[in-house]
Amino acid sequence: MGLMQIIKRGFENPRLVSIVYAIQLILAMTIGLQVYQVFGASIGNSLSLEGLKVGDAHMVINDLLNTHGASLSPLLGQVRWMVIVYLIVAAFVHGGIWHSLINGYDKVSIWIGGSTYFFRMLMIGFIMSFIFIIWSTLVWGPYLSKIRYWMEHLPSEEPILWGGIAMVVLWSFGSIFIFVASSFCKVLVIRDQEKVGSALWKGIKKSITKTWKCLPVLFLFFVLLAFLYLMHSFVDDWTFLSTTIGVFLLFVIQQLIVWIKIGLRVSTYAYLKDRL
Amino acid sequence: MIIGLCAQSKEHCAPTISEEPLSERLANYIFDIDFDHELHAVSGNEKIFWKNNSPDTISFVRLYMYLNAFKGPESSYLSGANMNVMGQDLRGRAPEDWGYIQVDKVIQDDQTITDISYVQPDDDNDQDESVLHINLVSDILPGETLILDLEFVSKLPRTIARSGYADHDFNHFVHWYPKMGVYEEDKEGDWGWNCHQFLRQMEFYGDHGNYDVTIELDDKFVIGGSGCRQMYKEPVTDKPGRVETRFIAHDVIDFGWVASPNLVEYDDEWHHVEIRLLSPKSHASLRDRLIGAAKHSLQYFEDHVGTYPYNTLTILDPPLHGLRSGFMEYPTYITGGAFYSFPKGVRSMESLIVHEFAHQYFMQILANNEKEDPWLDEGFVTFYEDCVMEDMHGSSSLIDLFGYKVGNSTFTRNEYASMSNKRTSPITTVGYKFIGDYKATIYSKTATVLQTLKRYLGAVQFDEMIKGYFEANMFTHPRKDDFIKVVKEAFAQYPNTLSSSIDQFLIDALDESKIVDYSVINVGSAPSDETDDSGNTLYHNWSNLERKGDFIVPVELRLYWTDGTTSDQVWDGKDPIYGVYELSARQLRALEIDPERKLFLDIDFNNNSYTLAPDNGGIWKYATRSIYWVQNIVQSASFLM
Ligand SMILES: [Zn+2]
Repeated sequence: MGLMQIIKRGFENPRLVSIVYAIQLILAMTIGLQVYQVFGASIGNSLSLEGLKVGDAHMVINDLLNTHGASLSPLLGQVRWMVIVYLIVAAFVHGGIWHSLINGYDKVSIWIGGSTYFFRMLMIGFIMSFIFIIWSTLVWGPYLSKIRYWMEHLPSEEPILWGGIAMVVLWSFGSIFIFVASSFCKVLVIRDQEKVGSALWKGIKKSITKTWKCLPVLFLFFVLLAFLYLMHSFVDDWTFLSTTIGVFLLFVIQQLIVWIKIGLRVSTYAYLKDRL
Repeated sequence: MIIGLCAQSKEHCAPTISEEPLSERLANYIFDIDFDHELHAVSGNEKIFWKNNSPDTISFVRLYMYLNAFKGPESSYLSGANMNVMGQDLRGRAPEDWGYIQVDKVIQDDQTITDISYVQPDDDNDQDESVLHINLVSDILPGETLILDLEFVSKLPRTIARSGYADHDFNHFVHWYPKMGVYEEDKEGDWGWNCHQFLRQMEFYGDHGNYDVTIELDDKFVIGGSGCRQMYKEPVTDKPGRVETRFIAHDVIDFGWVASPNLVEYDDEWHHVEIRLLSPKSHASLRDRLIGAAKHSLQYFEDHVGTYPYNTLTILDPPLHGLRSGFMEYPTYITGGAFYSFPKGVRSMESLIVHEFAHQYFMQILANNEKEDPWLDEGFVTFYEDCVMEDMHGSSSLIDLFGYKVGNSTFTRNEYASMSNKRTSPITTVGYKFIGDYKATIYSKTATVLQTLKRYLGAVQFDEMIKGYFEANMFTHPRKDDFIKVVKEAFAQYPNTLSSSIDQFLIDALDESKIVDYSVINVGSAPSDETDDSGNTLYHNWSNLERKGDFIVPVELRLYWTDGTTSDQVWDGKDPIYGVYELSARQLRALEIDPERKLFLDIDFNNNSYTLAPDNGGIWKYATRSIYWVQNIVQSASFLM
């Protein structure tokens, strides 16, 4: 199966993608509108606003944070809570997506799947996140704790840099295994009606044998996501997008990128479902 | 061993562009030393020629013994204060990791001087040995030259504040020898030794003079430092594996050097200057960035301040294990801080080279007392660092990466404007007595004051002023008043908005911790009952302005009208609230204080303007950006759910 066909599977049911997108957008809008409000209330009548549009914003933002930082910092706290809330919401909608991919899609499949498998998805999600945290600590803990020592004693920073890159590669591999294992678990629970415990065990075992074959495709997905990220920072820098219409156009591009990213997540799920 | 003569030399060596002395050459030194890298120590002879240019008869001298500050936790540099120096925890050091200078013998007029002691002119800590007091055998009359012969040992500590040794045989000898204090007339007109103990928040001070330094060491070392090389690694007879290098430096205030077997030497040149970069092998790809920054600095200073009078510039780009010796300036020798594969869009390593180079002018040629007036070098250097970087890379000179852009002068000004407490010690506080954010004040606020002066005066006029300051004070020890004098003259010669209040401005900016913050409260326009001659409705146009800070500066106002025209006024900035009013056929749309950002010291530019027709595009841009990033964060965070 070609990569294009694999990708297409994620977008076969745009409604599925759009539901996830809509939930994320609503959450993000609550932050975005507050940002708009704080900026408006603090510097809304300033001519400095011109600077914000053209990317020459360092001084404007610096002075804004100095004078009105107290109004912006609570938003960071809100984002933290939002992530936690979304993790729970994600257990629901992802359950719905898996159900739709495995048992067939219709208008209500995402809601039925979400409600049927919510607690099991949540449990798998949290267990896998726990494994992921342990893995990350195991990889990065020793490396980071050694950096100070290496800086004093190594003849060059070259090995620290290359070692760091090697660690990123190693960590990414491990993370992909954990991602595949979590996906397999969910397939086993929904398709084979396995209990969570045995699904976890089998999912992890299967991921160790099967992830290798999936790596090229998963790597291509990763490259696509990185490409989208880079494209955004490139577009964000275009000065002709500094008119009011330009800003709207930028918003449309950003939202398109977010929508595609969610679609790609569904494509990955569809691909992994067929590998098990 | 006899110091080699020119006939022996393998290298061409003329340290300065002039055959004539550039300075008074009050403190001159000849060293003949052996470097034992196993002990991280040098030992040998130091001959001092010190000229008494005072009206006094000198019966005693004082010498700096900087390395004794690193002799142990009892020194004034380390005691009392916490044992953390530049992020380095010094608690529990092994005894061999400390350093010291020990004078074994002092001879004057063939007589050994025995009346030697350590003194503590700044505190009562009798454990501090950073100043040596020598009672002379015979007095030195005004105009006479004192000749002292010293036998000494200098042992490096494991690096503290740039001096010291590190792994892989890296040895950095800076502030490493008994060095003459400065005998000078103080602000009250009294003559005496200015020779402070080595304390925190304190750098160095010395007279200009000549250095002739011969070092014997193992063949494996690459060696570099101040001045030029009269002789480089000539084998020593009867000592296999040992070589000698001789440096000559003229009209400088100090001498520093490095020896490490792991450095590669890259030679380049700019006009009359031989540039030598000493860099670890892994930094080969950074060579052009570092040397390029040095060359651009040389050109900028040539054009805007004065000619670099030395024929050499040595740059140490320390290897990782020697990084604690980086980020520093010595005469004709600077140390940077660079990293392998560092992104080209982040130019901190270039900025650092420019900064340390600028010290050749402010600290070395204009040899201010860094202990008492650190702003006269660090502040000026930061200002010129920003000028050179922006001349080289434009407005996003410091960072230009993935659309994130920051210019040097903006960064410097923001560092000051973001200080949580700006009411700390003023700029001109004696360095070691300063309380508050030292860097943001001494470096960044001073640079922002200079930026303000430049913007009011005009770039060309500012250059002329600095060239005058440089010419008048080169190879001396300038003080605050020397600078104040040229500023006042320039503002009188080239009248501008600030001219009438320049005296008060300099006091408020340098000697006080006042804050500049001008803001526009509102702008309004409403039709009146009156009409002009053509029957057009006349409008009441008004705006209220506020002086939020206690620092009073005259500011320029720009009024923007709905018909597209603008008009300018000047507000003396004195009243806490100030009203602008005009009855006219045109309608006021916006008002901006200091539209050309001349008053760079203003801590908040966002409140400098008020418009009735705001363009919210910029706010939308940030709102949509935050939406986009929150979406990305939740999407990524949920990858296992
Ligand atoms: Zn400096």
